[in-house]
Amino acid sequence: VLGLERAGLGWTLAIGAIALALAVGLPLVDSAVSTEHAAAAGSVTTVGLGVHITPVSTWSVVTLPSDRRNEAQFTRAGALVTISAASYPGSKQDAYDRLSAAIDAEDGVQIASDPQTITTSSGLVGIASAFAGSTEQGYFAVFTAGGVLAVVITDSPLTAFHVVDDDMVAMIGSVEIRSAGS
Amino acid sequence: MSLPALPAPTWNERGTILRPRSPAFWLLTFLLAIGALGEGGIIAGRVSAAPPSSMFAITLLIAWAVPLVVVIHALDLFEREPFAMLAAAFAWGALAATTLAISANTALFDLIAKLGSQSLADRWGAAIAGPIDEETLKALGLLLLVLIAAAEIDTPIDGLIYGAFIGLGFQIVEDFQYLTNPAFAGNGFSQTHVVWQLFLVRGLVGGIWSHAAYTGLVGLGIGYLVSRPDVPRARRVVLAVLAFAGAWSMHFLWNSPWLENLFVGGYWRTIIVQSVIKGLPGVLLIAWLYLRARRGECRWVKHVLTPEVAGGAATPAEIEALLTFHGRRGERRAAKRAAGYRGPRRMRELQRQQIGLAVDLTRSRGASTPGIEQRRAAIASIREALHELAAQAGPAGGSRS
Repeated sequence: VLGLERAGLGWTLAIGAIALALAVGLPLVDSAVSTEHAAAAGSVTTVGLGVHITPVSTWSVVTLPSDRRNEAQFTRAGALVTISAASYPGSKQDAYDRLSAAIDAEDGVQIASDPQTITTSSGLVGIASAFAGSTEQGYFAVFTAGGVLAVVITDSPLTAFHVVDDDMVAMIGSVEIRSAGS
Repeated sequence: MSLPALPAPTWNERGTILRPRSPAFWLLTFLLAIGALGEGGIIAGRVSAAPPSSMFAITLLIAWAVPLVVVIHALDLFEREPFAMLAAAFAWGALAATTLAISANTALFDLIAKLGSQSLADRWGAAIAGPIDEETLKALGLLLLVLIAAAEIDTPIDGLIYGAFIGLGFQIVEDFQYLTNPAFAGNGFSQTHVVWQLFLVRGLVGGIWSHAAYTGLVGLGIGYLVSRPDVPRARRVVLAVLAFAGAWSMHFLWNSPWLENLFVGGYWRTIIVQSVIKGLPGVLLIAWLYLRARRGECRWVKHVLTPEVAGGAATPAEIEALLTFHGRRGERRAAKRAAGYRGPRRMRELQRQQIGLAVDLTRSRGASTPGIEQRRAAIASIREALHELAAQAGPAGGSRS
């Protein structure tokens, strides 16, 4: 066939089929299996206390137990984006320092970048940074407005980071804190 | 002379990776091209988006990989593998396997979360998806190399070396992505100290018992499967499958959350203790298997060269020295003492010819060929040159030069 040797043709086809099954077949199966709680495209999720976030539509909403109020969680490919809201009289910097210290104190995880000031699409200003461990990597960010604190922690397995990275940054950039009545 | 029955390496004539009539060659080329577009695009994107961090990561990873390449390449004491084949193995790991693994891993993570649960994916996703996708994809590259140039994989150690090169390619590109992840992300998280911290974890602490070791073990099994026709096929298949299972288990254990809360007491202590406990047993297993395979080759070389003692092509001491790097170095140092500064170079040539003689005798099954006669003549000539250098150096030898 096409001037090719017959020897090894069967094995070559088998190897090609396995590579195809993993790289193309698995994603096809994945897209065929429905996501139970898919986030609707462009939908704004209300976290509580006026905090809102817009999840990327390829992510699923995680159903949280009823005792975890003012909190929302989204997942894709083993990555998690967790956002929580709380009343907070302190400053943004103070909240960042506390969160940063708590993450740094976790075994096997450390802060991987200096704090950065970020501005979300709604104009909300916050402080964000990155953390890294041997098997996971992610970002965390704090926002305060009107006595309300919003904390976002994104956490991805290293293997999936490349795929979910942009989504995680986009979700951090979509956080809003709307004052009561607005 | 004919060679008696001992488990002999085949040490076939050189195979070539450029075999356009082989279907496997075209599949390898096609998937490498896909990989070059996929992974090459990712690397180029990182370098253009975060040049300092990317270049720093590349520098660190090259500095880390060069000694490993030297060590892996040196594992074969008697027949060095051709550069083109090693480069193809490395490229498969670095480009094709990584590109294919990205979509496979992402899909499998998603499926674990959808069909199992989010917490299962969170805790066990990497342990399940990594070994299934990555070990399979890396092994496929080695099988393609076997189909293209089976003649080159003529001992289990050859399989180990090609497997380790595939794993090393995979590991370097994977680590490059991990090291530059924070720098690449938006909002200007671009700092070289992050790259350094991640390099310490991924490269120095975790790098020794990672992909190069996993795929090296797979390669040892595949090398045994294809190079030992004297062993019943069923036994070879079982051992190759066990080697794959061993690599799978090493990868699973490494990615698993086991032990993550067992040791507390700071970042580095946690990372180092976990790494050693999870990684060391697998590496020790590979080292043991390698030494076992090498012992067989050494026995064979000794067996093949011993009849050459009578003709002067080798002395018993030289044969013994050929069997270890330490022994070879010792002979070269002795040559320096006896024959001056040019002695070690001559001794190195002598050792190369003696190894070549052992390989040629194996290929000819002990029959004398023009090539073998040339080797014997070259050995005699080098030996004469060594004697002349020693005579010029005088009774005190070269120790003063």
